[in-house]
Amino acid sequence: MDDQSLVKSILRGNDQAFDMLIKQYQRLVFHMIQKLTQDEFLVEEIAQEVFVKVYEKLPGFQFNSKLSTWIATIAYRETINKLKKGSKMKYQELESASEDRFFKETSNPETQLTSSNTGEFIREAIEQLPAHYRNILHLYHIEEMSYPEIVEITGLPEGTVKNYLFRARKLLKDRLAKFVEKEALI
Amino acid sequence: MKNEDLREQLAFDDKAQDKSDQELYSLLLTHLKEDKEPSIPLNFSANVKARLQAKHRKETIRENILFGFAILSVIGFGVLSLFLAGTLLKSSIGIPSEAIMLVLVMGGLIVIFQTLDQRLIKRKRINQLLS
Repeated sequence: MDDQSLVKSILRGNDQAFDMLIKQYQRLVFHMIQKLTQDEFLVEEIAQEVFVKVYEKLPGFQFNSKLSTWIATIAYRETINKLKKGSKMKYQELESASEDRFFKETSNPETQLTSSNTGEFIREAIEQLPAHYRNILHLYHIEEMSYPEIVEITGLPEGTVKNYLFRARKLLKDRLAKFVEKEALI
Repeated sequence: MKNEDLREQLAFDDKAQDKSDQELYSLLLTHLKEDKEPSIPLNFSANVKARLQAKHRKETIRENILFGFAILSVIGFGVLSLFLAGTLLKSSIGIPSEAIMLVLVMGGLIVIFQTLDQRLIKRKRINQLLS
């Protein structure tokens, strides 16, 4: 079922269609939230609230953008709002998460050697990136969203989105270089 | 991996000019396509629907309470107005209290009729149109 038929079906009161929408987009929503907060309890709580908002706002959705972009926008804003409301500390951590932390952690060579392969090493390195970097990397590479779509979701200017993406990749490349070097030595 | 991504990245990273940097970026871009699946509870969809129902129930209760307060306020204000008007008119032109009671009952019936129309008949009509 395509997105338009799915939305129409939900608006006609079809409960199963809403189930389908949840199943179709839950992965995207969970990923979006997990990139911004690693508090597992909060993740499910926010994800539920996101789908409640999707259901309530669906009559106003005009298909000016893709359904996935619209849902991701709600997920992003809901997470930011929840972090702002719930605990200022958590939001400040998100905002102020700097690259310094990333570099500090790279200075420990043991952590680099715990990963059994390159893929795992990169995934672990991504987890340590600042939240906004992680989020944009995910939207671009995993969800295969375009720059305008990421701009719509995050509300950040296109220049900032590109800057975060390039800086994230550069940080990861520098770290990967050290990992590859160590691997070659073993 | 898109060649355009690599080209853009190399343009951004002015220090990455040798072949090993390009290879590292190529390797990285390949692995960036992989991600762990998030752990989603099996009953997630049911939880969302339960939350939605609970929210609607809560809103309905709140609406009913507000509506009840509104009706009580209207009736209270009406009774007070009629009482004051009755006292003034009786003392000046002598309108009997039965007439005032009749107006009060009529007013009450109108409010009840409007309530039933709004809450039952109109809602039913909207639901019929939607389905």
